[in-house]
Amino acid sequence: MLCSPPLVLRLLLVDELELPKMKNTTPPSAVSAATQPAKGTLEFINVVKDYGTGEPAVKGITFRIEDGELVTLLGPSGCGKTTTLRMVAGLEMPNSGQILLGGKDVTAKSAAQRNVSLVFQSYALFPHMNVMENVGYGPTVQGMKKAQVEAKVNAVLKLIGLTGFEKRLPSELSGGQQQRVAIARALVLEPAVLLFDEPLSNLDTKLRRHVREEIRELQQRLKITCVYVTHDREEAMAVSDHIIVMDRGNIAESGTANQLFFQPRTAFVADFLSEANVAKGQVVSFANGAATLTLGDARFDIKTDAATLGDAKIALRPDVFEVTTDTGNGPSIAGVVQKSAFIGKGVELVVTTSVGDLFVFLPKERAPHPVGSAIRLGFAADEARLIV
Amino acid sequence: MTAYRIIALMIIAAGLTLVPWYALQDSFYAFKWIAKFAGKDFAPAIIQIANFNKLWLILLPALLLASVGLYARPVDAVRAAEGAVRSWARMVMLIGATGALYVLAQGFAIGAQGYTFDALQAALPAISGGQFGMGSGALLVGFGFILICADGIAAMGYFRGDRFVASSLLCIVVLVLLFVFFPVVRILYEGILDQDRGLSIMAFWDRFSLRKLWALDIACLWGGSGCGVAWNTLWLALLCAAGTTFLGLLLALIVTRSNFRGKKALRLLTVLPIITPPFVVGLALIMLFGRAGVVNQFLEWAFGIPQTRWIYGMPGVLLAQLFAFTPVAFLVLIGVVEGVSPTLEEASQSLHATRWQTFRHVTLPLMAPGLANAFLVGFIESIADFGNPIVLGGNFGVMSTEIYFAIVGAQLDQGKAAVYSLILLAFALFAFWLQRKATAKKSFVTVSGKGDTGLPSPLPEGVRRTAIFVGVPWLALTVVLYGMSMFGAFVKVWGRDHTLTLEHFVKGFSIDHGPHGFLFTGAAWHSLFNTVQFSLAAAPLTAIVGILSAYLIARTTFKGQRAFEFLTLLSFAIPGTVIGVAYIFAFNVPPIELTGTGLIIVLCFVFRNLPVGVRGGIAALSQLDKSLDEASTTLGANGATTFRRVLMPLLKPAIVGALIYGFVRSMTTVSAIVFLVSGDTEVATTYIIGRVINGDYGVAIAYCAVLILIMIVAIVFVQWLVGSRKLGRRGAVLAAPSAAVAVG
Ligand SMILES: Nc1ncnc2c1ncn2[C@@H]1O[C@H](COP(=O)(O)OP(=O)(O)OP(=O)(O)O)[C@@H](O)[C@H]1O
Ligand SMILES: [Mg+2]
Repeated sequence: MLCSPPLVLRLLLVDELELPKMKNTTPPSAVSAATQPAKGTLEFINVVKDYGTGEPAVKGITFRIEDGELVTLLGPSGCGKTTTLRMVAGLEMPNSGQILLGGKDVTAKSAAQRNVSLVFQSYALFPHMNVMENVGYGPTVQGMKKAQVEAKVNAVLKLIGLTGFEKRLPSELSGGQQQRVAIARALVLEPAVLLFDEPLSNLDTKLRRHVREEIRELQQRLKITCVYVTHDREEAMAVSDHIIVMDRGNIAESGTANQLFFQPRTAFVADFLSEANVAKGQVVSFANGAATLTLGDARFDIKTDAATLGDAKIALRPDVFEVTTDTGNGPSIAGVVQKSAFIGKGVELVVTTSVGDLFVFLPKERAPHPVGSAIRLGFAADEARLIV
Repeated sequence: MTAYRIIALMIIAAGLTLVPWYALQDSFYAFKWIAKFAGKDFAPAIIQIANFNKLWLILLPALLLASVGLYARPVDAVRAAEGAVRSWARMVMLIGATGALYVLAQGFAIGAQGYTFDALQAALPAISGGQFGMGSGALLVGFGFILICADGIAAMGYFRGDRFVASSLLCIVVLVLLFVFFPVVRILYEGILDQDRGLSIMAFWDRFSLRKLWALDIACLWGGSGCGVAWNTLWLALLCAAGTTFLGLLLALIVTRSNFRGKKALRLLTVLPIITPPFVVGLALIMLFGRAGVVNQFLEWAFGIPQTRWIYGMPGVLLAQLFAFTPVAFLVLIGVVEGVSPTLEEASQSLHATRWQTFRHVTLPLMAPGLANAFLVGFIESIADFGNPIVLGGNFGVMSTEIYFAIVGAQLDQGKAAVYSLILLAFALFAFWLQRKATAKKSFVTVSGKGDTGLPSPLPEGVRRTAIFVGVPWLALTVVLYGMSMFGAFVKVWGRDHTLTLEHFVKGFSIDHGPHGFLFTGAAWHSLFNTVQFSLAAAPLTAIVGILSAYLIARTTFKGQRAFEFLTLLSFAIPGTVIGVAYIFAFNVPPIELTGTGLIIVLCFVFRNLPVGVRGGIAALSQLDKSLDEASTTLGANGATTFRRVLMPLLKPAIVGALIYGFVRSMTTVSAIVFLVSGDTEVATTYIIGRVINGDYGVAIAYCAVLILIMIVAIVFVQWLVGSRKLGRRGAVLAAPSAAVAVG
């Protein structure tokens, strides 16, 4: 990856890639083209998957991904991301619900009949075929002529920076190169949707950032719909247009990285994306899109569309706090330092307050606070979020 | 219309109009039927209907037309409602199923004299004349309708809509039902037929409760002869199982846990049971301990001890079985011993356990399920053994030889043979069931994939001594036995005239150079050519059906998968003699008349060796990441393409293994086919039996030597063929999967 020509250069070559006509695997629909969503639009409607081993792996999820978007499925291990992705690919069949691709119902279609490609976590390169044969496999089995296949493969290999590697076996490639072959193999069919299952998990940390940028830029360049599975929130925020956060088979929340990070609506997302503190406070009043809240001895106003009077959960990210002595300037809350550590880019604290232990990150400080010392934590009122 | 559908329709059409509907007296490939195309015995179904009054066949062309009609107007999957597609597919499925079932049903319902059951006679319109066994036409038509049925099933959405999976599954199920399940059920039926061929449970009971079977006398525990055959069989099997397990464990310990030098050579032992024709050990024992045997002669010469016949009977059979089957136990146990994690033993020792305590409380318990498995394999081998008891049994009868004599003996008592077979089958199935339970628990023995470092602990002194003092002489004796038997091929008359000679080889395998080129004048050539030909035909079939079944079991999911797996492995538990009896009952009469043909022998080989192919395939597939198939699928390949382009190349070692195994086992099978051969189709093993029964040991031994040589050449040749290819990091696994070592 690192020793290949710069990405920008390679992306410039993309226009040379002659885009052969896709084999239209879905028959023309009776609906007129004007009302038809573009081919890369993906829709899930109440999709349930139950392996019959206890709780369903996916419990009725609904979402819509627009053409040309890169959307990440994010969530802790076992929440059903891979299952969802495999249902898009047609490798698992849902127990109920509908999957629409480009506006057409593909729920009952087999993987071979869907215009979707998957990049496997383990790459799943065929060990007995060289790079050329691996990448050309899709067009070949769909009956394309040998010369055409080769032209097509060469174009894709050029795009992905692997020209010259055609005759190598997968076992003769580095991990990063194997990864790119896997992507090339998926791309060559020009799928309406490209799926990635934790594509970076087999790479070392240094390569990860690089490859993830490459994938993102390739996607932008080709304007191809991508669904990307990961459980790394930083990776998710870095690559996606939208993030769908999953929790035990359900969609917890979805939105842009910015929305989910700064304005989470659920405790799960607040905790998962930004490690926010979720503390119990009160809504004292609510009118005209503004609410007055109390949290411990702090009292402050926030903008919000909805609020119910009484007990409420309030999320505060670790980085919104600062140590203050001033009680007049914005809300603040008093506490005692429980734990304190200097971690290089700042100081982490756990502070016991009247609303529970708060996890605090102070980026500007250089020395830990003595344990047991009483401090006052100030925060900006508009960083606080009412959540459910 | 897709190619698949066109091909299915064409197969049916060809089966109805182009080839003979009924079985031919001589070979299909003699092509005599072309000359007499419209003759009564040779005509295809269409002409049979038109000219020869076989009106009941008319349903088949009708069904063909119906399916053409359906295929010509497929329901548009896009515009039509979901329900319409399904009901169209269901129609296709039903027509296919009706066609395939009807081919069979009419065959069973109408025999040579018209209706086979009185009830049918009363219920259905009268027919004139009857019919004989079905032939190539029926085969094609049945096959075509199965394809159509599978197409319908796939179109209904089962098997993810994959026709390849649906049709291979259906074909294999039909084959296994016809050639494993049906014959066995047929035995049951035969067992409850009385003298006048009426059904009667009493007839079964009379045969079952014979004193000859169940008489019990405590003296036979140490060699008395008053016991029933059933007890003999069980007692022998228990002794054999215990003995082979014990010896096998000692040998395995020597190989894995000691610094004994000949370890490599010891591992060669594992191939012995596969390439040894069933009589070699028995004959060698006779040469050693028989009346004219070396040991007896020496004893008489040196000490004046009179010659005895002790080798003929229980002790001789047991000894032969111990020699023959210890390598099998060794094969099973070597994996088990190696599977015990050294770390656990080190842990035990670090907790201050002595070597003996470690062995007793850690090593042995960890091996227990494996030992149980080896025991049961020994048990199954023993009750199914036919070669050793027939050579050495004398008056000591076991079930397999009794069955043989019930069929070929003077009385020809089919009912008796059937009931005996059922009893033997019950023993075997029970042991098989126990064995499956034992292996199912094996999982905690196997080590994790993580590099398990640590050295296996040395054996406790007592165990080490026993292993060396029992194991090494045993090995030496095995070598002597094999060497001796080979030597026997080169002397005039063993025990009397030890002049070296090639006479036995000349008698069996002489080639003369006549005016018309070479003439194979030796007496054994005919059977040898047959054997090689049948084995060569059977091996690829075994491999194909086996690997395909393994694919269906390991790589697809469908309801009833467990049952399917059981069905394909079932024939492992059926002793060869029982299969043989079952085949003559099942395929001696229409609609499937195969006795006397080479085909029945090939089929018998295929279905007896199938379990090994299946297990080997499953083992090999489990080493291939499932995402390879999925990658292929998402790239637009269907099941057939994935199988051919991705799995087959990667499974090459397993396929080669199945091929070799199928070939070699076929060469040495005797019990299953001893009833199935005719003068024309005589094979090596049955020819050897004939020589042994005549006391013509020289030729028999010479023949065995030739067989062993052929098999070694075949194995080495294929190894070389595979070895010269680039197979990646995996080596070819030629050793048969331990538990699947087939039963004689
Ligand atoms: N083939 C299967 N059979 C039975 N249960 C399964 C199967 N595959 C997944 N599951 C279960 O479904 C749930 C969701 O699994 P899934 O693989 O989708 O998780 P994931 O979100 O991809 O997790 P990870 O981040 O660890 O890969 C898990 O509880 C898992 O145990
Ligand atoms: Mg996953």
